[in-house]
Amino acid sequence: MMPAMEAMDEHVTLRLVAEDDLPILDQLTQDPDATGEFAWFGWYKVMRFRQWWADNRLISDDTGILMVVRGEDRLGFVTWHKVPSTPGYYYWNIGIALLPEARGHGHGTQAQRLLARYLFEHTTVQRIEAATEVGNVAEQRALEKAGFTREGVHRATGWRDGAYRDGIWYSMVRADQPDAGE
Amino acid sequence: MDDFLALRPVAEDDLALLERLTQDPAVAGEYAWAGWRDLLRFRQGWAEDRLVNDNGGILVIARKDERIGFVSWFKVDFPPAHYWSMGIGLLPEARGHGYGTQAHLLLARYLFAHTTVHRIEGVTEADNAVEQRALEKAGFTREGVMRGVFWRDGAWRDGALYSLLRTDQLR
Repeated sequence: MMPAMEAMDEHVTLRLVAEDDLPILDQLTQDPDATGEFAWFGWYKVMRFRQWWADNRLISDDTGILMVVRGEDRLGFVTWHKVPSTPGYYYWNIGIALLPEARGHGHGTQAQRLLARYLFEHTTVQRIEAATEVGNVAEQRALEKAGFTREGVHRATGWRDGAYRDGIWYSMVRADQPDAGE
Repeated sequence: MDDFLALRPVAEDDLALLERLTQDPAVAGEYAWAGWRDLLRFRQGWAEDRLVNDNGGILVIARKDERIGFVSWFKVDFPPAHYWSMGIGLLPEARGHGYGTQAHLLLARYLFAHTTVHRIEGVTEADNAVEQRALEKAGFTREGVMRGVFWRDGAWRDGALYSLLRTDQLR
């Protein structure tokens, strides 16, 4: 559980995944009680985080995962992967998963804003996008608060729990970045 | 009515057409000219699998005995499902006759018939009004503008996204 008396200055930060974080990644993708309704897609590649951690500590040129933490507390993780576009150009698609007890506190907004800033600082991309299911209002609110712009509804892009689901697409382009230091 | 188009696999002597439509700026047209790259890709792909495999493909658009361009598709993975993204290249003299609309429809029917996907999408530059009209006439629905999604000719470009679902009324 989140300590109730956490100091006000405990900001959300991102850091590399350590070996003892791997059970949290597993839990947030493979335990339906922890994933929540919108992130439970059945079991697949259940060893992937361990294998990627052994391969490259979960950071490569095409993809990455960082832990979302607040002080000593692990709140969840953020991810990004490359979307190839026209020749010689790509952009990032990002995602987030927070533990149930870490939801509803604005941590998702902060974490996604930090990840966008990190990616714009260290890579040349012009665009960072995020997609979420039409019914996932909490994530839509988090993306909007983080400075992402809603682009439209992409019909039937995802399959979850026996049905095709519409996705809402959001993007942040380099010029949209919220001022640093927020 | 004698204007019907057909799609067929790429033959060896079609390869020069694919190359002109992608590697000759005058033929590719403004929106499809993205610089030279991977010049042997069509020949290598043709030698390997005739340019059709589980992840996508290319078919020639034929009108009577003429070859007027090609359509292509590739897989967009969205585990545990996937869908297709499709594209088209038409020779300059074949543009403006509604052939693009017909070819999009033929490919959509082909993909819905032979694969289980529920969604086929097409993305074009936000300024490419001709391709947007072709997609709309083929029954695709406009879903939005994706900002900064392409790089072409020295600038980032927005993309207009269209989709056709299996449950949409096919024309």
